[in-house]
Amino acid sequence: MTLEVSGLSKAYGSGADRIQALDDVSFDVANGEVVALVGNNGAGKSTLMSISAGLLAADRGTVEAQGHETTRGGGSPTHHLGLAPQEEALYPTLTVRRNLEYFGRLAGLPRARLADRVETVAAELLLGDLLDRSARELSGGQRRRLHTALALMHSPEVLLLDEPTVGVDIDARLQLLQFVLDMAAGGAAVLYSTHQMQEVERIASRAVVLHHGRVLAVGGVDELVAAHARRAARLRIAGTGHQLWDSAPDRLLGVRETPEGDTVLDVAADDGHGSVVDLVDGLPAGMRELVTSVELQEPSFERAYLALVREADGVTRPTGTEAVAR
Amino acid sequence: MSTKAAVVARNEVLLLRSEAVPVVLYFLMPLAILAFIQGAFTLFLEFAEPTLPASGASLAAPGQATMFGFMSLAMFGHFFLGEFGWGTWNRVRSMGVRPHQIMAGKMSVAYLNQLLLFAFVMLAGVRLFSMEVTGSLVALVVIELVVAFVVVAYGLIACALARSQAQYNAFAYLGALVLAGIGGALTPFETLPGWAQTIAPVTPTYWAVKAFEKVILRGGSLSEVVTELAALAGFGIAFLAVGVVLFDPDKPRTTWA
Repeated sequence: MTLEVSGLSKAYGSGADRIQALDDVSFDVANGEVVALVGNNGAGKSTLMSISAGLLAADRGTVEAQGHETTRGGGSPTHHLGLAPQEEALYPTLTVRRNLEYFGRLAGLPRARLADRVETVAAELLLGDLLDRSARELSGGQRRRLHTALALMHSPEVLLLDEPTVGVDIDARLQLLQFVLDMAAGGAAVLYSTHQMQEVERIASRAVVLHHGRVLAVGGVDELVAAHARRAARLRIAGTGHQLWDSAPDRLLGVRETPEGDTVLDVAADDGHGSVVDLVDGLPAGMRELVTSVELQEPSFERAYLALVREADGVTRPTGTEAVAR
Repeated sequence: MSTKAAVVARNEVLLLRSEAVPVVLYFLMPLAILAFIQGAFTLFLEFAEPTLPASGASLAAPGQATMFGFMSLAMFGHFFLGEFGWGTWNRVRSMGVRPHQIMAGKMSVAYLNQLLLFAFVMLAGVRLFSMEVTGSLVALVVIELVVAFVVVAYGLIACALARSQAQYNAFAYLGALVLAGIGGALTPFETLPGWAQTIAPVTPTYWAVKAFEKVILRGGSLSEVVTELAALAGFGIAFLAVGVVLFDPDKPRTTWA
């Protein structure tokens, strides 16, 4: 395996302030594979990335990239790994070209290859026309692309991308996702942290779901969806503050009140739950007439993720203010 | 210097070039001050050392160069703390570059900057302020090589202690003004109050000014400044050791906050 995470644990603070950021986390990423790392804020994704890049020492466990242990802290000794951290990290007073050249040189790229590599990476991340522009003159999305490009200069075999599409416009995002797929097709092992569940479905073959530092699930994206996501019907009901029916609480997947003053219910519509017509008929008296739309939603990774998290938190039914999948 | 430190040093030069104006100002400021104070230093020499036919600039210039050497550490700190503000400190480390390699690259450029600043002030002193070096040029170069080492090692302590640019600058300017003042780089040593003259030998600037004075004013050779060089080297090594011990690469730092 190219990236192997074994029994990784990390805590911050001590006593009552102790926070278990990672708790016995294990998974691997093979050559040519994109594995998505998903979890809420504070789930431990960035801690895992930092430890994997050798920037943070683990309390227990190991991370190996191409057979080189990176978990000693104080700087990774390996050139096999490229990291694009969550926070933007580049030199604003230098040009795009100088930024790229610097990271290429740090990775030991020979001078003869450096100029070509700069042109190639810049072109692939739509920075080709901006090479001689100072990084501080770039737009937010352009800076984010440069930030990602810096991790790619040495064609690393292991790529750690921590929410690389934050602030990137749609065109550039699609280009970047394609580039990640191309890197994997070229043999790289990519660990891709994101909050964007559509991105998981688009580029990842497997996913690791982290929650409060623990791995809730590891597996193929399709398998996780099949095992944990339910087909749902989304009902939009005029008005808010409705008394929701209690006859089948296990069917209720989520409730949300919209800024427009409507209530949106997500209700399980798997086989065995009857038709959508039955569902609407089953609504409490007075609410049925207020239904303005019904929309069937196929199982998705987002639904699988929410179901896993809800189960881990011991939530049997959502509260009235809980955000649900759009 | 390792290859990685050399790559960091090269980048540090590019960063300095990208902020050229303040860098140039640190070169010009000692000349501006020199223009104001050389008359007073000339009067002092005529009174205190009438047998020395020297321009006041000969006495003032090395002190000013040393003082502004400390002040110019602000740029070293700016780019060191900038790495934290820009997020590049950890990013560079993730490329397999060790903290000591980053600091070695940065300090080597700060060191070269010190040498260039000194050479510029000395040349300008000769050209513009009738300054004369009566002693060994080799000795002058060796003294500055050691003084620059002391200044940069002091800068490492500032990097180790400071959490922000404001803290760093306070430390650098404290070094510049207090050490320069007590050590006799700001005004002639003989004009300092008694208490300052008593504690002056515990400052590196005292030994630097004394060594420069011997070579520039009194025709001194390398062998005549061995004591001063030894004292300066001692300060440099001690500063470096303290800086290395105190330096924590994972300490949270910001630029201006």
